[in-house]
Amino acid sequence: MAARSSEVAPAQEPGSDLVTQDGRTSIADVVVAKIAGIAAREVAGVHQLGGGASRALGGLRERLPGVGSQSPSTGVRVEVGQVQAAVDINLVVEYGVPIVGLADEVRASVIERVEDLTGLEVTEVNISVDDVYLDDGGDTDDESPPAR
Amino acid sequence: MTEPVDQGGSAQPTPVAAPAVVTRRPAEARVAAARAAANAAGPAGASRRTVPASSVPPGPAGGVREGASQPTAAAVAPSSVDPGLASDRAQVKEHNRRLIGRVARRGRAAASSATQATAAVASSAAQTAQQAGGQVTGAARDLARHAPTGADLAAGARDPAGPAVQAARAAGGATSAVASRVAGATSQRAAQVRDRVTPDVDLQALAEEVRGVPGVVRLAADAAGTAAAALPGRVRGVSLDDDELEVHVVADYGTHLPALLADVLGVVRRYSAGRTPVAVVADVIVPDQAPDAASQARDEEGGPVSPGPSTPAA
Repeated sequence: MAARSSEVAPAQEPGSDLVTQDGRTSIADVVVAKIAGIAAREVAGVHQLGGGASRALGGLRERLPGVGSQSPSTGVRVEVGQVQAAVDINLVVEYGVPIVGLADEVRASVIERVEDLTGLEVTEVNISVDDVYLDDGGDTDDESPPAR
Repeated sequence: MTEPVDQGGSAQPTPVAAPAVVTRRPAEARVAAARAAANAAGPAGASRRTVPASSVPPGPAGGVREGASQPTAAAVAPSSVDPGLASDRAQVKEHNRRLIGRVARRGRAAASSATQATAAVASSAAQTAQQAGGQVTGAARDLARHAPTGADLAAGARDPAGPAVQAARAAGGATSAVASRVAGATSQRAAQVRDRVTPDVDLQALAEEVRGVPGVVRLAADAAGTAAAALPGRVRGVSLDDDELEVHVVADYGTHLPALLADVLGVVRRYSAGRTPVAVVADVIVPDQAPDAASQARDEEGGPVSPGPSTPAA
């Protein structure tokens, strides 16, 4: 994500762990994006993160030796303010999972994780379901290659 | 060059060649006499030698020789040599002598004309040099005469150029002001750089202590360049300027970042020497992806310290 970092002003949010007597602390965007991405992937029913382009690139990357799989921040876009953050997530759901309930779960997971680890208040989590994954072979999700 | 030679050739030979002519006159007379004898002896000069030797009777030839009163011919004649042949020899001798005389005369004339020519050339060169000098001095005089006019012209040109000069002066003043401002900023910048090069903060010790904070994987020199490490004495991930001491760290995923930042900030504050301490989490290292790592991280999220089994990937 962008190298832009959010400045967390001291003593603005009474309950925040980021409050400091003097000095400044900040958390980079990519940190929030990675945390949100990991939190979203942990929810059962989420097959993959990322839109069409990033998934195509991710599929390409998985075939290249030594490059590794997707970055944890793939499919996640964040806007980080001083004490608040907004998260946008693109994901692919598995077929058969109720999407509305899944979205609520993802939203809750992301909010909980980001607020817990970074001390930022998550104001909104916008979820976009880009695709549905059909598990044809009946194998486990992680071992079967993405069908699309 | 040709003209002096002609002059010398025409003027000089008369006095020089006069004695030669005087001394040679008897010889020429003799030669003329011998020629007359030869003509009388034979009609063609080419057959002169054969004709007297074979068919000419000795009588008339001898008479001619007597009339010419030639001593050599007369001395030779009494000998056994044929008198016609003797006269021929005398003619040849005379001819040779005449030739030699002519050559000598010409040589002398050439020499004298050469000296004359040299003299003439020298004199003409001197004249030319004098003339040239005169011209040069004349030109110099003319120039000197025209110089005041040039100065007047320049003075006249200065007046219309007045506004331009003023504008140029104003532009120069503005330029110098800008230059001085730039120089001031540059010197300030140089002072900053000097301070950075020789920082009053033990950055290495600071970096070591920050690395020891639980959850910190390493210091980060992030893309923003705020923690550059280019200058000598610099530490990667630590940025120092007049106002702030800033440290960028990479944390383990799952670490409670506010606590980590508070710890790091405490360390930085101890080293900051009056500057504002700044702590930034630039990145997190996710242990090997995958749900199990994430769940492991979730298990650990209660405490700020995460044990470091995670392999810090670049």
